[in-house]
Amino acid sequence: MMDELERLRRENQALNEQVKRLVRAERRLSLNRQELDAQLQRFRALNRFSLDAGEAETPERILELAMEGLFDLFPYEQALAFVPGSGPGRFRAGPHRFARSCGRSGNVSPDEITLDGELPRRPIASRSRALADSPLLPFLRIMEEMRFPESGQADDFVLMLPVIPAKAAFPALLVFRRRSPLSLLERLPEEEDFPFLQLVENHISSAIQNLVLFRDAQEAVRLRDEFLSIASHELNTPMTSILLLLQSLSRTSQRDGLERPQITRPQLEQLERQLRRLGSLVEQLLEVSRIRVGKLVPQYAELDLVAMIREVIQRFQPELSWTGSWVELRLPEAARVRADPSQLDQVMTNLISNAIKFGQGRAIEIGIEEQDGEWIIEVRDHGIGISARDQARIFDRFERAVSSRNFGGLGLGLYIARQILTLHGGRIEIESAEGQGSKFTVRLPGVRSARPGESRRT
Amino acid sequence: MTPHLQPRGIGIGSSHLRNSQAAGEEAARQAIAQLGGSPPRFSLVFAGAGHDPQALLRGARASLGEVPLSGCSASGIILAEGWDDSPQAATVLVMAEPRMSFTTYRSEGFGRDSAACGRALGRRIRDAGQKDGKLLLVFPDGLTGNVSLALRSLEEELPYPVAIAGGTAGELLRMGPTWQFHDGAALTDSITAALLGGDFLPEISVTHACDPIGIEQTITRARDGWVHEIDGAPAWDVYRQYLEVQDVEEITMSHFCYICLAELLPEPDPFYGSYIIRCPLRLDRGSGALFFPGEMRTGTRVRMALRNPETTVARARRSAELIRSRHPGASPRIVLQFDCCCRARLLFGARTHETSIAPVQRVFGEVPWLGFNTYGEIAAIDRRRTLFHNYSMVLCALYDG
Repeated sequence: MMDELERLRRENQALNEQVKRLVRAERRLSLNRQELDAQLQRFRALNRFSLDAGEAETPERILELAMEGLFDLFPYEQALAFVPGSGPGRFRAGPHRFARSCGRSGNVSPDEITLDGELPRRPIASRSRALADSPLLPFLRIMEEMRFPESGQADDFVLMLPVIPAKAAFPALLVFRRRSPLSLLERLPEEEDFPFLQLVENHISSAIQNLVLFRDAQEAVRLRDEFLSIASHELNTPMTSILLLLQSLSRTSQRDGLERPQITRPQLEQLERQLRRLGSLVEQLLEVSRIRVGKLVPQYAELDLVAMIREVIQRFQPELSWTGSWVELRLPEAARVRADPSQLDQVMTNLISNAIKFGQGRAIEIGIEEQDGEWIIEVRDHGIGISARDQARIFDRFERAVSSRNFGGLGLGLYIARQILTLHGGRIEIESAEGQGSKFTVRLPGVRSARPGESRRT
Repeated sequence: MTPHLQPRGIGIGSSHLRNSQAAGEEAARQAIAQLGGSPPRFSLVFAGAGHDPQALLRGARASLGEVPLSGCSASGIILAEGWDDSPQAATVLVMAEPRMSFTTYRSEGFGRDSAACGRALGRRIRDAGQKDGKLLLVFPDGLTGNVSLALRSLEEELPYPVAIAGGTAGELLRMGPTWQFHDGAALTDSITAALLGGDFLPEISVTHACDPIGIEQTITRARDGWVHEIDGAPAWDVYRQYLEVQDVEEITMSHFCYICLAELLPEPDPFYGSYIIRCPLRLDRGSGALFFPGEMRTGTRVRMALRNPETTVARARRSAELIRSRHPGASPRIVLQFDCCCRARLLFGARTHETSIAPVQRVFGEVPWLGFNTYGEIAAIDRRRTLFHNYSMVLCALYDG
């Protein structure tokens, strides 16, 4: 009997050990299931973000979606996106959000931050006081202005998630903050979550990059359509003028029974002007085509810039007299450069032509001076000027700062000028303000530093 | 959550504002707005422990005025519209029923001498001389005292039998301080209570859903709520065999919530079962002793027990149906729910409300509902013995008298 009891006791103990093992296994299973649920939730959130971001029309909206998605995964309370400001390294506060449970919104400063250095390359999750000496601190200061209502027992955890799309299309910084105490069941990201956050960053960057590419493509299509419309109009105008003149001559000679039409000198000059205009437009189009296929190769020769400028001005005498503008020259005796004479002539023609076109009949100042082995050529008018926003794009193809309705041209002149100058190792800059005229400054290497070149232009 | 309109002299408001004073004010304002102009006569406040409790009460009383107020900090709040365990969840109940009486009480020094604390509370109730008391809602500190002992002492001092229900104050599952609310004061290490009397009938039911596992064991050394040894081994050594904890510093509330002790009841109850559930809430890392707010004496026979999600919901619904069956065709004025924090997110995750709370609420239909996630639950299992429970849910419905 005692043996039987002992045997049962031992069997009971063995069974109990099995129970313990089973409980431990069940707990491991339960923890794994929780972990899997959390992972699933993350990938669902990413998937939802990607779908929604595909419909977004602005990078700011993409950042808003990212904030809302991360609020679903981590118990942050505030989020603020910093978006590109007015220049490299400058940021301004963009969209901001409070988690649903906070239910409040505030305003943030419109001031810009200049970041001392670059955006961090990976997420930062820490207490805010750990960022006291960081260049990122100003971002937190701006976040303070969201007027988050203080809880009595405030902690302060922050997550900084840099968003750096390829080609720095729209660098941004997402800042999340948690101020009130965390319960045991609330979890903020830790080191082990950084690969996931990096994945989030990749999704945001890709969404922004895709949006930028899509918008660029849309803009390119718009510009192409606009250019085709302008080009048709510009080519049509001189042709119409020529056709009308020829029809008039034909009618007159028919009426008068003349075998050889009588053409007056003003009519001849008008014909020549319109043909020159037509030739110039066609030449611009060919020039752009050559630039695009890389066939604009300078044929270098030594030339005098002063003589060239005087010659170009001479060609524009009729236009100067029609518009009422006059040229004030500040030129040295000579300014020798090695350059393709024809291409450089085109640069100066484009600049002086623009100065006359937009100069509103006022003085045009043209100067040349030498500085550190470079020739600085300035062409300045006192006309309508160009707004700061437009200055950034007027050197691009088909870009115009003014309406094609009021001012003719294909919008190619400055693009061609910059391309030619780049080929010559030079550059072109603009200073302007609306209503105060424009100053174009061309820098070209002097003779000694000019690039040698024997290729023929094709 | 959008508060329902409450037609029975009852208003319930809630707030998620991070600013504690504003949260109290907002929740109270919402609740009062549902009284249709009647002045509030009593208030219950439950709020997440992320709040500054004093500021929260200041805000609530700015809207409520000097009405008697009771309540405590919580690990989550439960409303008809949903469940929220965020640290800033806050809710305020107001009652305006003129045929009911409301008196609030407090007793401090709970951890130092739980029996004396309970006794003092009972004496204050007796001394107040309220004759029509029917339901005593009690909210002891969830971590510092021996709740079983306090309840026993309290019941001994009461001038007449009343139904007792309630829960111990919770917090962020981080073993921080818990708060008990009494009128305008936020206390800790205390018991607060409200005695409700007059024209109503309280119905209380309690249920758990833990399955005993393994062999029966005996508490071989215990004192003042601390269990030192089970079957002669340090209590923690017995416990840890089920948990795979390498470092005792890793211990969190989630470990304590995972496995519990089932104490054999001297008299099994046909509805409730044979065991009452006990959960340790503190560990003495030096001696390996575990503190159980439900007192466990030397010689108590126990088994380890695990929560069971499926039976949790099924038994909770049965508990609700039991209450309804006592009042066929009637709808309660309000249902109060005191539900263990270990049965919420730790068992059901983010789907706690739809999985485990809404099915119980559906038993009663659309009635005013207020509750909180506790560190322990208080109710009689057979309308006679008021006991302290863990891993359990107490439903307390107030019917017309």
